[in-house]
Amino acid sequence: MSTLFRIFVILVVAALIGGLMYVGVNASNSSTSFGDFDEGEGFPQRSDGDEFRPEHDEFEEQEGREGGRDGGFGFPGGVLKAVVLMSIAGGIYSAVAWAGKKAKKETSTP
Amino acid sequence: MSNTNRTKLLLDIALFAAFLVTMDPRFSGLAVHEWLSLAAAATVVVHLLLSWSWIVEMTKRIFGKGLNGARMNYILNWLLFIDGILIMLSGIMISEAALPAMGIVLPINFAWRRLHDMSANLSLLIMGLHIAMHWNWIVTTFKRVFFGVNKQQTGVMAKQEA
Repeated sequence: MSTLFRIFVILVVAALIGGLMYVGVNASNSSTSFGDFDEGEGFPQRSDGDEFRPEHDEFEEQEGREGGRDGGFGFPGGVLKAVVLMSIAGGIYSAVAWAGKKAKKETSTP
Repeated sequence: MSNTNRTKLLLDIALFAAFLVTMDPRFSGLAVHEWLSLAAAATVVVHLLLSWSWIVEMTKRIFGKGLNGARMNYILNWLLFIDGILIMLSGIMISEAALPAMGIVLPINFAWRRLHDMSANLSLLIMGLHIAMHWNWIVTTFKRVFFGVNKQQTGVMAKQEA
């Protein structure tokens, strides 16, 4: 029972934060994104074709890059990028934490 | 070695692997990217449930004296949670595989795509810090789960490394 309550709390908090984000994004875009559409037409809907795709689709074929919309298990460049960036962030934190500890040690010793 | 710690570690390894795969949708394909992300979101709830007592304790003591490291960890976890919600929400709004497969078609708003990219890049930074802050726990628990090193031995090893 308590687990269900905890799940409920997590979902409520997530829904509140997500709701705020949704309202914020839609409010900031309502005056700019769809200004050209007449009232009554509604929002453009996703189509089966490429009609509404952005000009620079991230899944467009790139030379020397396997994969794409259907995957392909080619060279996992994005995975490597993620590992490298996380390592840099973690490394910087560890260096700062180590320097802080060292400075504290030096000031505490007479 | 408690079962909770073992479960936590195995769950976190699975979550991390899923996180890496979903960071490269060209590698996995769009359908895998979306379905795996939805599954990972459910797993994050379990991750939070396993750390529930710490979350409750820190929420009560967040303005207390001392606890600087724990406070920073707590704030970072909230940032990661909020960023995760933004990734999921923006991902759902631009979904081209999972939601249409469920018969749900949402209006297009390209701001969500930009937000999805930005929040995903930000998550790399926060995740790097999150892992760095828990590095000692990860290494200790990993040794205990996979190499059967007990608590006293890990303490000795840590002293030797220092």
